[in-house]
Amino acid sequence: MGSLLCLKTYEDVFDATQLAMDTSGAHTWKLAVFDSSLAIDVETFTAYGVAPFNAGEAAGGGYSAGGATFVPTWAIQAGSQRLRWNSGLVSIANVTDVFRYLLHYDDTLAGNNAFYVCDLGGDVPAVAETVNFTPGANGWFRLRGLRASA
Amino acid sequence: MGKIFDDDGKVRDREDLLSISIGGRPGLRKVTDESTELATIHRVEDASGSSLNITPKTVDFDLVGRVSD
Repeated sequence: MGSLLCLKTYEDVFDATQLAMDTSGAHTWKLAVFDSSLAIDVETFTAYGVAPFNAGEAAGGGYSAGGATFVPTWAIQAGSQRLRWNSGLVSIANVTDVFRYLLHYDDTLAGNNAFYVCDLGGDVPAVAETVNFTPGANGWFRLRGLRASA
Repeated sequence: MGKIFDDDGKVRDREDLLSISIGGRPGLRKVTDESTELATIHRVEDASGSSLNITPKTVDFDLVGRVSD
């Protein structure tokens, strides 16, 4: 499937919905872990707890429904001409389920609105150990501010 | 160095994962090919126990939601 921006949420931020996502620290953000059964429509999927994000979530061991809290940052990456979604390490103790997808969502909003889906590219085995997620050197993802050259 | 994902995008089983080591460094095992995969995964063992450390590759999008790189 590949990693995805949750376009319905982006639409709601800018249209009459005026969805008040907040990365200033005032809102709690979570990272939820899902298996490879997710079937996602990039134009319509909306929120944690709403299909397809109401099935296939990790459940065993030390994983709590809803996922782990993390602190994202959303800022221009100097010199890159890109807006970067980043965070520090996100740690979940004793994950005992096979998983593939990571959902980032704003847990403070009543709608638990989905923001980003990270595809790890394949199933990660159940290891019954602490799993530490660290974004890549340039963050979880970036939005390019200039049109790519043809 | 081994790859955690085979050609079908499936992960190797845990036994394979544990059998791969790099650089002769005890406790550190590397199971992905950073040049081609969407994430790198290391299993680390130390005095405090063991953990799986996952680093998804940064994804660059253009502003219509497609992966541009």
